[in-house]
Amino acid sequence: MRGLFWKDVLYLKNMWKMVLTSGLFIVVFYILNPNNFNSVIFIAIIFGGNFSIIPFTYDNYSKWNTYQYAFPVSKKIVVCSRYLFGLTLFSICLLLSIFSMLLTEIEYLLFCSDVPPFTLQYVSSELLPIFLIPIMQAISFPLMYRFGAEKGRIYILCFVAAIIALISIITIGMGYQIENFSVSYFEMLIGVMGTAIIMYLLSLLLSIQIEQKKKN
Amino acid sequence: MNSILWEKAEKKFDLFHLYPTSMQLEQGSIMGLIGENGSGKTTLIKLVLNLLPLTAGKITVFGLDSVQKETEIKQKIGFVPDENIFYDLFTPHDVNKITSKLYRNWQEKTFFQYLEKFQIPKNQPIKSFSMGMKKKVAITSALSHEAEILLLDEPMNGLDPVARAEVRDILQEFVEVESHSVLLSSHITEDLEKISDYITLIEKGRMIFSENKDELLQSYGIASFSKADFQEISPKDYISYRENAFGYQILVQDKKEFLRKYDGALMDNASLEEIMVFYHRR
Repeated sequence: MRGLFWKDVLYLKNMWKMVLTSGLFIVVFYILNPNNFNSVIFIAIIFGGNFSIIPFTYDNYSKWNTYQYAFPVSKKIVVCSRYLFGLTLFSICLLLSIFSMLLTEIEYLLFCSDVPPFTLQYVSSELLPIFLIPIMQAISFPLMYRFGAEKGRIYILCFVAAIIALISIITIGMGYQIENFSVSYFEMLIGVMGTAIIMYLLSLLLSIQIEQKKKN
Repeated sequence: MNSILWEKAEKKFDLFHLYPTSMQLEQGSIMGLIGENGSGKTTLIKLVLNLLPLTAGKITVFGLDSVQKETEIKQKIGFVPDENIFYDLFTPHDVNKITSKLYRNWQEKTFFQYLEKFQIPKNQPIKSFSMGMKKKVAITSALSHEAEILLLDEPMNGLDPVARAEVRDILQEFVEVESHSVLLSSHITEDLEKISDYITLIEKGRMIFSENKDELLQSYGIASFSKADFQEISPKDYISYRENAFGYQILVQDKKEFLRKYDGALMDNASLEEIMVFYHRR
């Protein structure tokens, strides 16, 4: 598994300019718009989601997805290594978010008089969107394994569009807002974390099954 | 002893059928696979690696089932596909990092020695390499994990004559170890003639023969006839014919036998390329 994981890490390393730009973009965005929840979600999806999907395209392009099985690896190991890579990307995003949060706090302390309290609720609300990355991966990975890089990408876009439409209907059409629910941000974070873990594990099992059923 | 044994190995696609094939690759030998494009050479190699599932039959590698003991077997096989499989943005240095973690017996020193021998820059991305250089990276990788079998799909494609000679030397050196063996497909029959111990011809998914190369070249011959003499030859006595400005040429399987029957016929030795071409004309 280490070799396959390393392949994905090396791919990320070779695209360091794009990764660095994206990372800086997230940090700067946090600092400039500390309360802009939706924008952060958008960037998180772009970074964590996109970078974890690009290797599928590269695999397809270089026919690695077929020839990787000439190496002594099983289908289970191949899928597990990709999920491990996904988790690594998520961890990078999480660390970047924490780092950005701390920078924002320093920025407030230095330049603003109304410093937001560094409470559990505040931290929870800031970290909440980052957990959309494993959820996004949990949805997109099986689609990529099932339909391949090209079609899978289209299905993912359709899926994201459907979710955005659903959220729009609920929030704009039906008038439900997060504030309407008597749930704290911390409770919400716990809920999203739990959902992400369950979805990730189920997604992993599903992807293994899909890959094992393939006849190359 | 056999390195690889194909027992009625069969593969059916929608548009192609590799008919039940039984053959063997002996230890300490090099087997050349010849046949036109799409004849089934790559399929035969891919079946060994379980890159394609068998429709029927069985393949064993060192006596182990190629499906059940897949990962164990692949530790002992060095594979060179007919195209580059590593990401274009990777360097040979990256390839070393990846493959060193995939094989138990990876020899980093050997890998870099071969790169040096082939004059491949280790820190340049593969996308900047020529086709031949990409092939050399793949060959280097296949030779660096103490493999006992090399499966090479068109390894000479894109290589210049000097590099081809180098690869031939490396392969001959490889089979000097008794337990080692090589199976390679190539359109360049000249290379196979120089290094192969056995030749297998595949035509439209059917194995025509799998024989000792020296016996094959001693046995097959090309006989030339005028148009009038050709009419007297029974079609049963030759494989196929071709017409040229001087008359007819035919490929015969057993030239001694043929000469006994048709005394005085003008007979030449047949090259592998001629054997392949004449079989294709059947």
